Amino acid sequence: MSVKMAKVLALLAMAAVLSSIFTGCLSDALEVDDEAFVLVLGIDEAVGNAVRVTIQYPTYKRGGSGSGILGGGGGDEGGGGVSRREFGEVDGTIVTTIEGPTIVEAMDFFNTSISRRISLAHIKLLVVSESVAKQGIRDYIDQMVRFMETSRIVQLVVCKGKAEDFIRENVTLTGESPSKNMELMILQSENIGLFPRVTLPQFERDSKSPLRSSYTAYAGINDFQNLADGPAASEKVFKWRYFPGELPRQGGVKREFLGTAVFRDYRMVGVLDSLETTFFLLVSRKFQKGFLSVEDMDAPGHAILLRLYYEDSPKIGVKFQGDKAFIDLKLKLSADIGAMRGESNYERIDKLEKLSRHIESVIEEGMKKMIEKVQKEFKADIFGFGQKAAGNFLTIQEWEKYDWDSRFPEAEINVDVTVDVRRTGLIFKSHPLGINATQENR
Amino acid sequence: MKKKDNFLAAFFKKLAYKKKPKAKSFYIPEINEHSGNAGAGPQDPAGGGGAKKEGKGQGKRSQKASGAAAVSTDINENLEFISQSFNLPENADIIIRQFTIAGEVRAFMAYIDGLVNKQLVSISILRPVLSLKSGDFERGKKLIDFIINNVIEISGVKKSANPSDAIYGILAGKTALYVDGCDSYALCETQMFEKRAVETPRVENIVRGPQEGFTEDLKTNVALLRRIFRNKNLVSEYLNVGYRNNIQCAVVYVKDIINPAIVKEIKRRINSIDVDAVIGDGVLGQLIEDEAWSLVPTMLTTERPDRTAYCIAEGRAAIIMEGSPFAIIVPVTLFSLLHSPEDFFLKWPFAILLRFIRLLSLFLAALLPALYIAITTFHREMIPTDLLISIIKAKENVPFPTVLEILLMEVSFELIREAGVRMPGIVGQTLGIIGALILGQAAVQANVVSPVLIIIIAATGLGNFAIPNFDLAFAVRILRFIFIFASAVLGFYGITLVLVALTGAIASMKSFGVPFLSTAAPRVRKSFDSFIMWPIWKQEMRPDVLNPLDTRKQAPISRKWTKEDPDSGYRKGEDDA
Amino acid sequence: MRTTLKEGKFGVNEGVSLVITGIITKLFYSSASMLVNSMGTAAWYGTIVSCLTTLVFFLLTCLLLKRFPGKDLTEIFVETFGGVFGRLASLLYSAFIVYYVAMNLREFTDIIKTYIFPFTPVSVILVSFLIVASLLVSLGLEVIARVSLVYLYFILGGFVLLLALTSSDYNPDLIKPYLGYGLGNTLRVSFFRSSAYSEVLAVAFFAKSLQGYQNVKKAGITGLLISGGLASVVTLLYLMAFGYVEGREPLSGLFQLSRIIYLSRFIQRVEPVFIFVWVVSSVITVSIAFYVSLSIYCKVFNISNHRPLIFLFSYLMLAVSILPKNISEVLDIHMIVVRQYSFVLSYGLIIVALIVSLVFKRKGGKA
Repeated sequence: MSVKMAKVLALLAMAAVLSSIFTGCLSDALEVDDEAFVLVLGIDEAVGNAVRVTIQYPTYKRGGSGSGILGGGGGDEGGGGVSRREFGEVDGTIVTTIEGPTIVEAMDFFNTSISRRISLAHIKLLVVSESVAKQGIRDYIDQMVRFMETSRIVQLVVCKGKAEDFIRENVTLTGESPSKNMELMILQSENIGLFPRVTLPQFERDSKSPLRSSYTAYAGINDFQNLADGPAASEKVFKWRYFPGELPRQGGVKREFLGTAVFRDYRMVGVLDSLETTFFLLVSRKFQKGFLSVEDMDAPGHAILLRLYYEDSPKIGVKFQGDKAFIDLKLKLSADIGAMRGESNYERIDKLEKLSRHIESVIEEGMKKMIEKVQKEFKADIFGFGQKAAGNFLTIQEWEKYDWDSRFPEAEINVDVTVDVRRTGLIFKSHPLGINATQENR
Repeated sequence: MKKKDNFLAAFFKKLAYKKKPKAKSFYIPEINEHSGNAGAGPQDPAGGGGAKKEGKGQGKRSQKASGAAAVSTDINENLEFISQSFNLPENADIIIRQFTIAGEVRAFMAYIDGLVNKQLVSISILRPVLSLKSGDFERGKKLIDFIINNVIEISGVKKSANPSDAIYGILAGKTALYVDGCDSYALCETQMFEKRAVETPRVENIVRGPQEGFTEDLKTNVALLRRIFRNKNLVSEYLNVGYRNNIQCAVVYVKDIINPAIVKEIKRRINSIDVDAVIGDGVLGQLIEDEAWSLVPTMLTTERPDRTAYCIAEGRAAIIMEGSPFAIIVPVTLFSLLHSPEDFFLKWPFAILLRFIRLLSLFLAALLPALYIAITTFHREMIPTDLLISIIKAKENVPFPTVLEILLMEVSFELIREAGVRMPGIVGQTLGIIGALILGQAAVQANVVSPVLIIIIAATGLGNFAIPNFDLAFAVRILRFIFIFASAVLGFYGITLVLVALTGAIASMKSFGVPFLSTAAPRVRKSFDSFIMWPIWKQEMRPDVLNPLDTRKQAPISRKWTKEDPDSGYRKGEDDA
Repeated sequence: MRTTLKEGKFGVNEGVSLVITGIITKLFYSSASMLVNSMGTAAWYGTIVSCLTTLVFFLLTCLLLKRFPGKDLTEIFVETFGGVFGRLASLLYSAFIVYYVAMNLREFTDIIKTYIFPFTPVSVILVSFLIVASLLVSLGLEVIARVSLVYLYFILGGFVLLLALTSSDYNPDLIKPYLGYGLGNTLRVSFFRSSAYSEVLAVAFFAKSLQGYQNVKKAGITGLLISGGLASVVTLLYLMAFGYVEGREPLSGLFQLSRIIYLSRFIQRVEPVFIFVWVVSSVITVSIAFYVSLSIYCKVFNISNHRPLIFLFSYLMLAVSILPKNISEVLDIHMIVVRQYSFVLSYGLIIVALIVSLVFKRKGGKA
């Protein structure tokens, strides 16, 4: 026994001695502050090389961003704010761009001027410019996926315009932590349902899968030009459909996430606008929270605000007659009224029923149009109908022979949406203004 | 002339330079060891006086086998024997009182000053013996029996015909009485030493449960045990260890529970020890431990009678040593080292919580710094980005590598701890807190270490203190450094490899024949108190690994009242009105 | 045969844990993706077929053990084939296991180097690994069995944790079409893949330590069924997470799975935690196999102390493990041999021995 323990001790002692000798040789060990962690990486078309890469990484200055960087809170003009902006300093982070043969190599190129080793281990967001996305991004994704160091929990975003500009506008206005801001920004997808949240592994899986096509979030820069001046419109106009950069807004961060970029075989084939994205998320069971308003059918010019829930998961049934696929999509939703015109008193049972049918028709119609657009125009099965269709085949050989990707546009899709308004919010009896108003529906 | 010379000499001495006579410095001369054995000391004349020591010198521990065979019947020879044995007259502690009984029989008694109750000696031995009248007795060999049976007013008196027994008795605080013409001594139990009172335990403090701990007195300790474990089969066997200091230790066990082989083995090991002075249980423990090279202790030391009683009731043995307030309990498994005596006094869910906290503390104490190094230098992707960035920001001005920072803080922590133990009383405690606070704060402000590290080291220290077993905590302190080195080289991979090696080493260990990891590996019958402590009434069986004579602790239904109807009872659902 | 190698004794529990650890460790390596590669969406029940095939072979082995009570396989070979051929047969096993260990080592190091330590020299990874494995081997079979039992809980817990943390990525639709590349293909491949379960034979070589063929049978069957079930569940969930196309791609399927863990903003990218489970089970598996090969060797040549041989054997394994040129050679040639065709050797000899003993009515007396 004692010999055994002596051996153990000897080995451990040897390990300790060796450790002090070899620590330098094993270059996998790196101090934390030896690395600069890229938070956002952008991919653009290059002019003089294969790919133009933009990275954003934190400055590691104490006290976060707001105070130190923008000249002591004095705005852009204060202190050294302007000159620092020239170096690409954006709110506690640095944004730099370089062109290189591959993404990972570009990191080496960056290190010709950046004093810390560039690491992709904490990358939060991968921004691909639309033009690159349209040419196909398989090579880039492969570089990211094959490279061991890259974090796989990366959100993928296609941006309208150049990724470089997008990242330069990625400032941290709330709080001090750029990484937290990035993570929380992406998570807004769950709160509003206006853009999907797609991580790199998910995108890769969908792209490689013969059962479906992939999609990802769409984003852009809003240059604050849409908030037009001039006289207000005489009649109310409801508008739900926007693309990134089109929202009439002023102030805040210029970049915005809105809509869905649809891919087929790693190639971007089209875009869904904000409303279509909501419908799309509803179909693919990704919709979590969010409001949707419909125009009041009795009183045009007024909106009824709804909060939507799933009554049941969307049911997709696929049948084959010959080679043609028939897809049945059944969507059961329930809704709560969030707000409406007080005079409409939809709380009454008969009216509630009517309202439900109205909402149903609006959603169903929008959904049908959206599905048709994706199916006929983009020819991409981003809904995952193919996953259900595969159940009709016994073996992989048969399934691959059928070639779902090319047959999908011919499939017939029936959409059946049921909506039931369940609750009416905090107010249960609303009434029109005026004398005897309460008498009518007592 | 002579005077003049002296004067001149004195005069010149005053004028001239005088080399001061240098005092010779002392050195210890080598002793030529003719006989080759260190035991037979040259300071010990080979006469009867060296009986004990000489006997030991042969490498034999048992004193009964050595020394003069019989007590002489002549009082002068006996006086000579005693004074030589105790190195009189150099040895001032030994007192030999000579007197004459009824003016006709010479007698003497011998005892060691300070070890006996002098009053008792005077009143209960000397006075009755001196008040004997001639004619009350007859001289001869039987006289000592007469005195023992009829005269001495002390409860514990033993007749001893062996001179070395007498010597040993005197050494243990007995008073030896010899009467001329007899061939034996009367050994009277007159011991009274200064000893510490029974106090609250110092190391194993608990909130709920008895608050008394062992003291340095063996008899008191065994008595403390017997008081809470009143069983006629509780056996305490006394063995002597150390051929020079002749100290007693008791092996305490319950005869009808413990596997006899365990007792036999303990006795075999203790009897075989050939060491001159064994002082304290720590030394004895090291001498009889299976895994002498192991960091992890394979026996349990406790200063609590209640815990000792619990353990011997389970079928273990306790070794208690004179002069040491700790009992050694064998055999044990790794899990026993994680138990605290408090567990038994708490309801079982609380105990389970405590056990998990202790496991966590073990984990923290051993691995936390290593994990920190591994994560920050190898696996940075694991740290949430925000935290990572704030760690980097804090470390930005610290010039040292993380390993060095950790080692720096660990070493200072160990320093504070050691200094705190050495510092007297209250100063020590304040030093701990202040040292840690000030040192940490200053180190952070001076950019010597990063602030996160202070948290890491503090948590590690807390974890270490929460480990219930002192020896195990020590082992963990050392293991921590090994893990730190491993993680500095190979990150998680290194830590894991060391962990597996360590598990292998522990799994190969045994504590008095019991595999140290047992109940987990090798798997034995489910124990209801290994890591998780189940309710007391479920702990029906004794630990399987101990192979006790009686495996069952409780009846299958130990709470008989649950199966009986109370005198005034009702059924649930019945109308109890 | 006069064998003096003292191996100690262990119980059924330890036996089961040896079998399970030995079998499921390969799931951490390329095994999951290889399964998906060869059987497509049928991989998850294909592996059960492999498991059942192995069960049949193992029962045959037990039959052989039953005919020679109190003897282990090495001794039985000598009884049936005679001194020279019996020893040769045992040596063949020993040599094959050296090769098996070497290839496992190589696969492990390559994956570690690819996924975790790209810049650490292979030698450091390999040597430190072998040092610990040799230590376990030198401590003996009992200790290996105990260590494997202790860590079995952690390994199983690691599996459960991994599969639970990735549960948000499961999509049951991804296991369609159900029959994979066709039933014929599935049966054929899974029959060959039964080699992947041949680690169960370890308990047959330790029949003596397990004290009787009843215990060997119990340990083997329990271990086989548990690991088969586990492998099936893991493969099923792996398929549900990646699908049959992406699922065949990664070097190490389960590690890839651990890389996509995203529970919340705070709990993500926890894959280094699984290094622990992964390395532990690899060390134990390698030490088991190492010990088996060493023990067979010692028994063949009547060597009473196995320790002096450890260094030589580990050097041999190190040497063999660096023979393949690249990862593709390891995975596409050697791993196919080890996990698909090796059963010809491992069970072939046993079946021949069984036939010989039946035909010539050789039977071991009570030992």
